[in-house]
Amino acid sequence: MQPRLTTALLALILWLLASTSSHALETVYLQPEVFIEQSFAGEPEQKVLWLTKDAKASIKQVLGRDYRGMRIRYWQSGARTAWILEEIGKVKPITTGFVIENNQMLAMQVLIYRESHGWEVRYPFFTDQFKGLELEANNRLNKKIDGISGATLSVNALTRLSKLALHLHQQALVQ
Amino acid sequence: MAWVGTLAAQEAPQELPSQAEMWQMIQAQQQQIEALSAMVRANQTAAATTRTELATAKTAAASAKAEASTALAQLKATQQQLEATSIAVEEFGDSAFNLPAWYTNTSIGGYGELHANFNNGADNEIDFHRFVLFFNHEFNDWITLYSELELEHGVAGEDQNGEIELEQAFIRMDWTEQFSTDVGVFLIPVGILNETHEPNTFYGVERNNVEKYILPGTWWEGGIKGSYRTETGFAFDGSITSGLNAEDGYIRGGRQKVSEAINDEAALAGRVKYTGIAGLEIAASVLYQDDLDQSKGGKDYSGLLSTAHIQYTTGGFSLRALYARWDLDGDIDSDAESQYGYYIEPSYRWTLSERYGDIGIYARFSDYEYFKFKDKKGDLKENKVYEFGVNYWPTDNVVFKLDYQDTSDADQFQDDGIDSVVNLGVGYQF
Repeated sequence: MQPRLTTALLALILWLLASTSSHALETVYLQPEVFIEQSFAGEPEQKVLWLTKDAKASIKQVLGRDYRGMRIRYWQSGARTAWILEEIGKVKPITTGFVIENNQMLAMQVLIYRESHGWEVRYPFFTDQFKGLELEANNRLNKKIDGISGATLSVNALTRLSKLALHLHQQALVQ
Repeated sequence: MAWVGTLAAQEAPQELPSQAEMWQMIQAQQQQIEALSAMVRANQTAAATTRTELATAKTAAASAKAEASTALAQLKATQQQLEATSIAVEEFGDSAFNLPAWYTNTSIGGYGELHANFNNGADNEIDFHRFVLFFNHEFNDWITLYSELELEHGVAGEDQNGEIELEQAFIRMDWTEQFSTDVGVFLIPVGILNETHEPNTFYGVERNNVEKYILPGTWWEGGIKGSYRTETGFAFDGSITSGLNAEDGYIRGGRQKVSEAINDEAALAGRVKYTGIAGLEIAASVLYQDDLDQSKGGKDYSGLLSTAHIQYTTGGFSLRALYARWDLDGDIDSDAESQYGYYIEPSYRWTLSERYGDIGIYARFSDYEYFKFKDKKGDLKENKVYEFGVNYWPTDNVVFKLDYQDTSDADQFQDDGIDSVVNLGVGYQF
């Protein structure tokens, strides 16, 4: 081992530590309640979508698998809804927030990320692609999401969740 | 005078009714009075009835209101009970008997691939090349274990073709949102496939030979790595790890796999990666080891690996290109001093349907030269491989592959008399 190079590397690590926040940080990039607060001008109404047999069947069509649970919470103000949903990326769930108005996605934001690779999915250069997404009649999105190398499964998971959020929005407005 | 006569005629007195006529008129009026009286009495009776009915209705309404109020209270109570029941059911699903469920902090994943190689000029082969399991565990919200255990070639053991390998087992600590460290056994941050090599993420049945023989992938070492990321899409990695022990310049043969490995010389690596545009990745890495042959009595020579790659995807079109080279300096065969390789791989992927998945086609040209030392002699292997093929993903995490490789201008294959290869494969990830 080269002592000079080792020292230089350790110094670099220490500098990086010092140059950023000094406290340990969770992988929580945005608290879900803050996301909800930021998604509406006023106070939204908290609602619940019960997952009836018919609702589960339609969700399976969109998601490609069964959705566990008996209800999904969401927030609504007028024609705008917000959802916080989870889907497994590679091995861990990604907690994601969606804001939808008039069947069109206004924003997607990764709130908690737990995978070892693919951190890029939480930054605007990736999430901005989801703005304006709509769900077409055949359960396809109206545009293709460009992926990230090394985060294929996470990108796929977020794409699936986007479909689900758009579908749930439609279900919520007719209930 | 005529108008005076007319006026006189108009003012003439009318004849008065007789007494009998007057009696008849009085009787008629009397009948009208009686009829009107009867109507008044009938109206008074109806009004009284209406008042009574109104009072009854008011009483009924008050009663209904009281009942509605009671029902509303019961509904609210039922909603509260339902909410409490729902929460209990949901919590039960996460944690039985109020104990933390192990799977909430531990997760399992994996991948695998079966390959069949139809060699023109040598025996055909079939091989369950890799069966891999990931085990991850979150100790808390900033410390996580990542691991990857692999069985190669189906059977492991003495005199068997395969082996069981621990490719990754490291502790990641997220010190800040931008900065993390990995300590343990991890994949060296070089190339495209070295860190991301699940079969559904790349074209071709076998991993490409440029990364296999030049980098050499898959390459893991024990040590520490720091990673710093920016919001603009830049990532910087630096690692200090155990190194290769490459006898006489054969790079791939120098992988010690962190198995009672000689650890007299460290390898230092750094990478800059940019992914600030969706679909784009550009990266460059360098790795330096002061003595690549660490064994006692071995040759003394240093090694510098330089590599860069680009990946770009827009719509269905993708392009991958990679260049890598080793520069060896010191007591080493002159043919081994410079070993390099590159490949370029355009591809296109279509969605067949939501149900039947995607299909993609690719072509790849690879040019690579590596020095191989075997049985106490070494020589430079010069290779040019042309290939094309197809991937079919019935779902994102399952892939079937078919490819053809023209190996007539590749020493690596010509040594075994192989002019071309047709490969078939199936892979999965979960």
